[in-house]
Amino acid sequence: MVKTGSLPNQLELLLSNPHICKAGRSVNADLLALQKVCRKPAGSFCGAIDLARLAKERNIVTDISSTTLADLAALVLKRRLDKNTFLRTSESWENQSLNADQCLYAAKDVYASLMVYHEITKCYPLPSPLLATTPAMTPVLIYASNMEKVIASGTLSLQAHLTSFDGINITHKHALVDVQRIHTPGAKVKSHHKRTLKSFGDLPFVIVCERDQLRTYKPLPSQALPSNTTMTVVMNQPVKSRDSEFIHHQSQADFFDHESELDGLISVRESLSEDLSGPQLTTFSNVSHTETHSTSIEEPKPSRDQLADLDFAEKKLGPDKSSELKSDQSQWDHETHSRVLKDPWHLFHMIYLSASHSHRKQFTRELRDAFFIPNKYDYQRLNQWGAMQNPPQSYEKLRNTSPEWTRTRCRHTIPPPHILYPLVRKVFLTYGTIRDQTTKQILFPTDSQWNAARNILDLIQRGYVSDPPRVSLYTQLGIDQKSGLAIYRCARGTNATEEGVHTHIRQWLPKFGVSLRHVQASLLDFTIRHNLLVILLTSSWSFNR
Amino acid sequence: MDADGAGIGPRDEEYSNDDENDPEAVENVEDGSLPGNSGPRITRPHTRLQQPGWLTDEFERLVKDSKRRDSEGLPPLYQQGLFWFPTRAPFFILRKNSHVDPHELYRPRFFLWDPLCFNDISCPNCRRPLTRQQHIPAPRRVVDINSTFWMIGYRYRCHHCPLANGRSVTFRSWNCQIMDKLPTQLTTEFPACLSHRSGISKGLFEFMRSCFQNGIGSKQFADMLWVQHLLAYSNVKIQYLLHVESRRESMDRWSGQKFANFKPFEDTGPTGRHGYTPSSNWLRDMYDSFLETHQQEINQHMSMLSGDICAIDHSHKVNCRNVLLRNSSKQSINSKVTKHIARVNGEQVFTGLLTVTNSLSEIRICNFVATKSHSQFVDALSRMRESLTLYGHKQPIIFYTDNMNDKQLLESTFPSLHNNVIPIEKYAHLPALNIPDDVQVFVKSGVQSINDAVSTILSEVPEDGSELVIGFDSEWNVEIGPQGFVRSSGPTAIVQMAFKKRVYILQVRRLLLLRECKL
Repeated sequence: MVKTGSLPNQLELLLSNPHICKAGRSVNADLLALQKVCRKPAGSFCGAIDLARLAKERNIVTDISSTTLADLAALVLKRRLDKNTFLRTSESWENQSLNADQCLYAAKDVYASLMVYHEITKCYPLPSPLLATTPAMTPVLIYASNMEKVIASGTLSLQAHLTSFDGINITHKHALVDVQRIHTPGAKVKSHHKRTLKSFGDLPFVIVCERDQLRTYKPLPSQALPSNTTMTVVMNQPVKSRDSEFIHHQSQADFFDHESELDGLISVRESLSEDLSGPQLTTFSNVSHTETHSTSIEEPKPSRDQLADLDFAEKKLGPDKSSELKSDQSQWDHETHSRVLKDPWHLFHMIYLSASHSHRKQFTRELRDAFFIPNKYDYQRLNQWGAMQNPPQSYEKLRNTSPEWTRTRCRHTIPPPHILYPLVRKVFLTYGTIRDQTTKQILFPTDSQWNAARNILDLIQRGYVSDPPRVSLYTQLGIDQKSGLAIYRCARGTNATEEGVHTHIRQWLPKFGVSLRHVQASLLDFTIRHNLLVILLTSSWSFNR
Repeated sequence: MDADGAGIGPRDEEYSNDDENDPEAVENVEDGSLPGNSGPRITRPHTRLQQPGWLTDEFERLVKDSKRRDSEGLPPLYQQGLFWFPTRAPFFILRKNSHVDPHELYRPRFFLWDPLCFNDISCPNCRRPLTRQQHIPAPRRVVDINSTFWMIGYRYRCHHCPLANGRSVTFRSWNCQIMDKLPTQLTTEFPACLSHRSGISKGLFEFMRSCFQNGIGSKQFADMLWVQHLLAYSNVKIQYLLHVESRRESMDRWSGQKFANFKPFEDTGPTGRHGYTPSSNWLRDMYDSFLETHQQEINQHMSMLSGDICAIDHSHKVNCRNVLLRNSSKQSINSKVTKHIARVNGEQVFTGLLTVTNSLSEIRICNFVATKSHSQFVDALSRMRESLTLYGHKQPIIFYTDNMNDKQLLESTFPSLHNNVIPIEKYAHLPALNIPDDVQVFVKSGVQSINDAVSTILSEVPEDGSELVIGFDSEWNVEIGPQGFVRSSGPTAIVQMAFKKRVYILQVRRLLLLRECKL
């Protein structure tokens, strides 16, 4: 069968009309695909305008290939374009009749394309050469000498009257620029004896540029310079700090001891199983959970050092994305954001801390309390029982002294992302730079802890950690005969009470070089043994032994 | 010591009155309750050992005793409700006799296995009844936890099957084909796991499984077993030596009575203990073949478990150290995966262990993954999806993972994970983009209606040659591969255009298809 299908002639006319510009993201690919199906010669269908290219020319985005239509809609239109991956990648676009969701999705995409085009062309003129009359403070782009690439951006300096700067004579061909953002740290500045931009140090700084290499432009409204237009998905791998700010702060990180003793490290997960009671040590912002706004720091007045620490922590953790989540924190979220979830116990395994740090336990407590919200009913029951004990106990005490015991007797919920994110971020901000009382080392001494913290925040923000609504994770196993409290089994992640099979399997396999046959036999034996015993191990009977 | 698969002490095949040398019979099938398992089979030309007299004498006595059958055909032992012959304890032997030879204290335990007493057994070949021919001329040795016991068996003959090489067709009473025909209530009483020539007790075998599961290797286990046997033997030796001492101090001092030496455990002389424990290789082989025979059942058991809330885990640490292949098995597997390998002591073959557990913490999948590619466990996951349906379980509603990179793979394997999911969009803080009410959306499919729609745009192209801009997009079918990447994308299915206050969705795929078919 030869594929020589053709499109309705009016449609072909439209596609091949160069005066009809087709604006969209990756339009070229769309046109090429149609061209191929119709067996038209190359270049038949023309008039493509790629919106990402259009945006890059105006310095709205820095990278074409990673910019999506949704990014542009957010940047330019301040609107969220829902890209439902399931629909987009469905296999039903060839159906005889499209359903309402499909139509809406298809229509939104193309409507957004047109709106983005109009908005860009209306509000963001192409960067234009400097005029003699261009006033100070005008935003400018600094191009590489071949004019192909933007190396930095800033504003024309107020110090235009200077005749020399940094030993360079300023002629009518030059202009002073306050550099506010570096795009290419390695780029060399000709007028400064080919110094690299990186070598100028902290932003902002002033450099002398040739006027030819400057273009005025309209920057995006400042708040909307999100790093996530260029940010790629980073998960379970060390975060590479791309932004120049991070590179600058690497040197600051060097100040802290990188070679912290490895054997003294303990993961937060391990800490969660031990006795977590201990004195509440002071932090400069005592975290209280009634607060809703995460980054606001209140009394006691922080010292300059503490502010510097906080600033450092903010930079290490990356931009606060809580503003991108739903804002109403009093409102519980009843949406399922993902049915594939990060095992929370594994999550706590991502951060390793110095076991001897004076604030480790306190940090672990705070982090745990941000994640796990006790069930009201179980909480009350536990407290009622605790009040009758001698000495009296309470949920707050028990969860520290007997964490495993409490976990099997009180159900907990991990709150939805827009509530969890700010809480956890605040714990990281507060404790990441907290210093040990004797050694003065901070709790997160190396990048590995900060990266883990960033990854955790990222997972939370995507909704991969919060409990799924309307899914019952707990099963009541029975009643604890000693306390009369219900005993639960939790299906969240690998079972917390039982430690899960995954950690056990290791020690149950043959240790030394053996045949493949034997390892497979052992694994099979392990499986059947485990599956037959697990009911006994997790039944209430085992708690009443 | 045990590199060739032998254990400590004389092996079974070294006895000249081994079953193999039994001239009267032909075994159709390999012996042993575990098919496919052949213990160390080393043919040695040298003279075979004689089973010691203390053993054969007792054996003959018990066989003779068992010939006296009652009206139901039961030997005296079975009449008393016993499978095991009672054994006198060394204490009583020493108490009764002033002079005792060490071998009198060995007191072998005997087990009588003659299931034909309880059931008619039909011939595995011709299904006609078997008859008892005679006892098997030598006892069968079985190693127990700290001692050895011996089994007395019978040869069952089929009178109907044609002769093979002029010999009649017979079966030993513990032949696995015979065992298969017996009711489970009866076979449960059978105390041994047999290989071709050797055997260990069921209790010891199950204990070995537990040991292996708790990280005690086969080498260590073989050593433990050997030590346990030595210990039990030494206890008898102490009893004997204390007895000798007490005799010396009494009247024997004057009578000049000589006492025999208590021989070493492994002594194979006529009065030696002929002590034996199997090698680690043999034990491991028994274990492996047992599990291989039961693989089907274990997998079946696993397949029937639920899986509504699952947790998937890849342990990469597990086997880096553990699965180091040696010798022959190494070459075959190594060749495939050499790229991943860089180890000091041996070569790493597997990069990970994949486990999936359900909400009850039961293991639903437990597989080694040989390469980093996901395709390895896609199969395992797909089988899980199918078995959940097959056994009437719900498809997973939640999947916990230690690696969020699995998300797409899991979602494509289990479509149930898509149900009612509203992913968090990148710009959740922004209001959603909606099409205003004054914008009309048209869906067009026929040639004519598409032409009509498009011409409304064409008619607005300015005469002066200036440009007109429309929003443009197209959609096509996408097939997602198991790893979450686009496997293939189909040809353009629809074309969308936005112009002024109108949005057109043009279904062009069908038109293109129609024309294809006409040709």
